[in-house]
Amino acid sequence: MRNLLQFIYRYHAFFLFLLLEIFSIVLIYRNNHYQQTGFINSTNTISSGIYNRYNAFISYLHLRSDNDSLLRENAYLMQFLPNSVYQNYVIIDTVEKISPDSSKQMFLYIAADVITGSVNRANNFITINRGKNHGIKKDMAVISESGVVGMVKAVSDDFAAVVTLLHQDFQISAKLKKQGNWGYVMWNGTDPSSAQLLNIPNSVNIEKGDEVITSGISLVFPEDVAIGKVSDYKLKPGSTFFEIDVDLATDFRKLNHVYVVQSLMKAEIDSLENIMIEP
Amino acid sequence: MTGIIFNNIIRFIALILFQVLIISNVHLQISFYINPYIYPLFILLLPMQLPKWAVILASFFTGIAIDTFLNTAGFHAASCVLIGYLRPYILQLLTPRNGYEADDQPTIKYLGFTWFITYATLILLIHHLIYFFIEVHAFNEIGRTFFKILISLFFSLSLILLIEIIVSPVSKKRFEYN
Repeated sequence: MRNLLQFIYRYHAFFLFLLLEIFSIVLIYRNNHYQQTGFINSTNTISSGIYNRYNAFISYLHLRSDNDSLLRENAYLMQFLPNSVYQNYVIIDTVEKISPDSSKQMFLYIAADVITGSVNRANNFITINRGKNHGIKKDMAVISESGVVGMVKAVSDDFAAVVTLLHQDFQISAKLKKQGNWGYVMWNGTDPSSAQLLNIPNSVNIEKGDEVITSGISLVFPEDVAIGKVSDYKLKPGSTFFEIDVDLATDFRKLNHVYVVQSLMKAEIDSLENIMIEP
Repeated sequence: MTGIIFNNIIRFIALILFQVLIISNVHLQISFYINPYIYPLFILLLPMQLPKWAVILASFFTGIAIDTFLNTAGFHAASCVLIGYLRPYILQLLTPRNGYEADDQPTIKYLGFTWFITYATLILLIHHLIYFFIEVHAFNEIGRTFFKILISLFFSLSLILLIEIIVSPVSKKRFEYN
């Protein structure tokens, strides 16, 4: 026993090194799983507090471009206000009977500011300044005015960590706007401005510049949110699927404001699907 | 003694804030391949007389602090613990011909420019190698990862030398740098 203690004392530096290294590796493995919520992340009080203060200080630098983008978005939204729409339909008795309230709210949006993030790592996150207190939950979709951003991975009281499209474990169901074919978009870890669209069969007539949008089948993302445009496509000999490069609509470097999407009908669909799975 | 501890705490805070708010700021990223890390300068500059276990602990906490800010649980901690453990051996390897003086510190001022560059390159190379390979957690992109490591290492080293030269000018003896 004494010899053992002496041995440990003699090599204490090495044992401390081993202990801390193992601890770090455990941390890496625990957090690498995309679904798991780590406890060391930027939604904790100290780091998010510092980021928040820094952003409040620095935000005036991009005030001008922020204003421009908000104005553009406002103008876009104004066209949907009732007073800018010419009511083209004629009310016929039967129609009115069938649909007293023909539309129902499906998605709600929570505005948030990006307080920190990364683009040039192999897997990237952003942290936003809205959390549990504002109704944000894990697995909610995040979009910006220009397109898809990602999905909420971890939530604290006032902050949330978002896995962006620039994360190699993140897949999003997509479709070609013109052709209507479904596939999915993934990032291969190289260029933060482009991702890959997979699972489009070689029979599809594809062109550069074709728009890629969300399919809306999962009900996490609303339908028709921009993902990007086809910038290049290849067909390996013998392959039945295209390899398509997509120029991403969202510039993750310039992301300041995002919207967290609350899907009101997701629970309904999920419970329905569960019934189908259980015999 | 209190002065040394105070200096190191200030350096710790300053380097971490500089790293996470400026260098790793998402709005300031120029290229996918340029990903410099300057915060290991804190570990580089820890007093030479510090016992091994203290260096390892200090390195671990530096790594964890960076991980917390950059959302990279464990990546930086693992690379920092390794360089903290290897630092005494690297210092031994780089012993000048006449040995270290009793009050030597691992800075340009005490041991010269060439010595410091060799020392910083060795430690940063180990740090970057471990960090970037953990980050991609795959060996199928070896070429690209090595390219990223070399480019980032170049920028990290340049920035660290720049900081060292600005913060502790070699000519002015009265700025005692601990």
